[in-house]
Amino acid sequence: MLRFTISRLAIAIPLLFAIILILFLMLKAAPGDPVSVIIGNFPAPDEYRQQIVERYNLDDPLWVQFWAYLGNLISGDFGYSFANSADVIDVIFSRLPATLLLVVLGIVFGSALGIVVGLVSGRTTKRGLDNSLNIFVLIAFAIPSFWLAQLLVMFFALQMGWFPTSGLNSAGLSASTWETAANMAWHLVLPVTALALVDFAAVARIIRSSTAEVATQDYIVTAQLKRVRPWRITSRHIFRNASLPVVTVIGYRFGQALAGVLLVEKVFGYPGMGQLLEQSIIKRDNQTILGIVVLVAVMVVVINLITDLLYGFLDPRIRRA
Amino acid sequence: MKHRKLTFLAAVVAASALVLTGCSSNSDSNNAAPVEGGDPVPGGTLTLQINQDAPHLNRNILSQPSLSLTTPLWGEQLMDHTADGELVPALAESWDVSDDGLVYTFHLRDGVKWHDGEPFTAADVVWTLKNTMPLNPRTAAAWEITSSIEATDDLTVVMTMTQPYGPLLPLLSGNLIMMLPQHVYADGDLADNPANSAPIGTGPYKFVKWDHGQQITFEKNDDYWNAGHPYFDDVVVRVIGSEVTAANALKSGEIDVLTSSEMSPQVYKDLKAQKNLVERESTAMPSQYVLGFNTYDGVMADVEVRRALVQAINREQIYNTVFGGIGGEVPPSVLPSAFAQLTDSEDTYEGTYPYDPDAAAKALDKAGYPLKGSERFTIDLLVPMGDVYLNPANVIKAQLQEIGVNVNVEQLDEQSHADRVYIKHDYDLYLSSYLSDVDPALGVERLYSCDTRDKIYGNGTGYCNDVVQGAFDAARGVTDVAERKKEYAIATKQILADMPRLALVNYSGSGFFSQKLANLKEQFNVGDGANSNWANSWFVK
Repeated sequence: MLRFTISRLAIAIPLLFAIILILFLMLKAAPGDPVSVIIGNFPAPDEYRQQIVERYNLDDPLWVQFWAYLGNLISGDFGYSFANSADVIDVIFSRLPATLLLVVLGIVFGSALGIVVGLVSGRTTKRGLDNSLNIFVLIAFAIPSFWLAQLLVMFFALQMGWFPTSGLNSAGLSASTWETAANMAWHLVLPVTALALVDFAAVARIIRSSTAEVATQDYIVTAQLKRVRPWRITSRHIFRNASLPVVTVIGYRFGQALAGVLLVEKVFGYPGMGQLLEQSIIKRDNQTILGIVVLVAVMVVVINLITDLLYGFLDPRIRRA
Repeated sequence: MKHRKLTFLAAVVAASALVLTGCSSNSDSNNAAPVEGGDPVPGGTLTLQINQDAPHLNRNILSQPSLSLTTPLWGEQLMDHTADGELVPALAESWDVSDDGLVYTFHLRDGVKWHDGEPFTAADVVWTLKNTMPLNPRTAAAWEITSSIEATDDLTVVMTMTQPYGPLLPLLSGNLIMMLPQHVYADGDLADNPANSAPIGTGPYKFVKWDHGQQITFEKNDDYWNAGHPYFDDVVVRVIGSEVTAANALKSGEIDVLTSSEMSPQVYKDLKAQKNLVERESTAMPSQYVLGFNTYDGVMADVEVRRALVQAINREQIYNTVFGGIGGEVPPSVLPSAFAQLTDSEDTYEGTYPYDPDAAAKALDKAGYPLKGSERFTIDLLVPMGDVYLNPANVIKAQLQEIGVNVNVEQLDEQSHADRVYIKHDYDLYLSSYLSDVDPALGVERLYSCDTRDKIYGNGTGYCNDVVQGAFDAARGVTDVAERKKEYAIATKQILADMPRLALVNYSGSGFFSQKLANLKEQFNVGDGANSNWANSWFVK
């Protein structure tokens, strides 16, 4: 297991390094004064401009600049955001929880539903049921989440008036903690649904095909001949083996969901990182943009690393291979 | 195999059904009638919207559009102005101007308290004017000719100028300089004061909290000097970046007001069809979209070419196709219509250069730019990001194509656009927009002044004319309206003759309000049209 972990780390670390290097080179390639490129379109005081020159070693050769840049990032110093009058790291962390809440809820609900539908679809002997589920999954997979988000708003918020169109909370000052939480949950239904549907489809497809594959294995046939109850075969023998690829899918979906959530946030006016990124781009608040991109890249690489390790842990064949 | 095909077909049918539900049609039903007057009903939470968060909330030292909406809730100035430009009392009950136009005396309202309970006095006014006028780009020029600001007693402030300055009172009532509490700000650096993000003012609502990127919450000020006001318990200002999302939130009642100076025609038509909304045309300062000509060098440096091009540009067409013919106008002349009280000039764009592509073509022949094949010359038109710029640019391109002028439209980000136009002068035409502001001396002047050449968002055309500059200086230096009219007429005539710029469209957008909101007419009589203090409105039962 240790060797396996080291081999995975040996891939993840250079990957992160490469991402940061590419970002750095893009920043260098941008036209205009390098200080303005870093701080964006703000009339910053001269002292601060000088600080930037020193902090990023802008008077030194390119490779020295890169090490300085890398050193700042590793020490958690992402710079100062003029657009928000705060340190970039604080600005990002003030928005990150809302976005993670959305992404994690979407993946949890989507995957849970995907596993159920995938198992039913893979195990059922009724062709009609399998086909209907298949069509449903196919549609879910094909619909872009931002578009689905708009349809959900139009139908469930504007037409039916069941859910709010936007935001994370509308509770007034007098609301209790419990009321505020309930209000937040009510606001989360539509955006989570928009995100979860794609996760659902991805998981359902994998589960269905791996269930069908596992079901033809000799040990399943043996179990059937031994008259083990069908439910027990599905839960103990098929699901355990068929669920392994799901770990990979969920890990992979995390990165996708982080990308998708940016658009969904826009549709729902949701106060997360996607909105922050969009506003930062409009205001050319480059330090915040860089901070978000680096952080998202780190999260995706780390999640993929965890997925790999988990997969190896769950399936001994992988780590011994 | 056949089965698979059917599955696919079914999927397609189901997907198209989803598409169709997405495209509901709009009826042309009209908005509701507004409720004016009646007995006020206290209570409720008013929810407003801004499209982006600000670094902090102190309008005196930060010019950002979203602050125009939040500032009047908590902050107050010496005077307000009505939609017609008439000054009305706010923190100053009355004021006198000496005959020579040099000494202004403000008599303050008695018994006003800051949100933290301290009394509001003349010392606060003196401190605010002295410390924030030099920092606000719009008041900096007035500050330079201010010789003294003194409190002669607790409720009287005397301000003395070294020379008369026409736009002073409009500036002090223009939602630019809000009175700030000296006891909170006296120590330390103004820019770093925590009160910038948690403001303390005298206005009808007190700041409560700011959830960055989400919402700013205010509550009723029970000690407000205007007894009985305001009526709402809380005001929540939500940050919603997307116009469509904001419009949806308005339709579903999650927000009560949506005002925008850049509302797209599609959203406008959608909101116009809603029965639960009331429309009020904005009387806010319009954004003026202007085409600038490079008078430094290139083809455009030739005045004959500029005049010819103006004759070939059909501004009505731009207004109708791009802006949907709503919430604005095609500006008749150099001064936007908002300054009707200062306009005495008969000279107009249309009068001087009536739309006539044939005459334009002949003028270009005569100026030495005959057709070579199907083309005379190629020019670069630089536009900033956004469809609101790109669309008019494309219409202009098509219109100039007809007289054989090939236009190369280049869309650039803000920084590169500013760099190419104001610093490098590397362009032939450029499109920009600016706020016409409370007085021509602050808005219009900088587009034509010699002093603002090469200043970013100043005069990028390089135009500098002694007659124009002299008239601007004279108009700024008098307070008498008739005198000012005369000077602006002189400037207008000369600018029209030289055509360094063409004003394309004045666009003020529109405002839609929940029909539950009562007394909007009185509410919006004071303020800059789109933004108000919300002390006079309430929710109907």
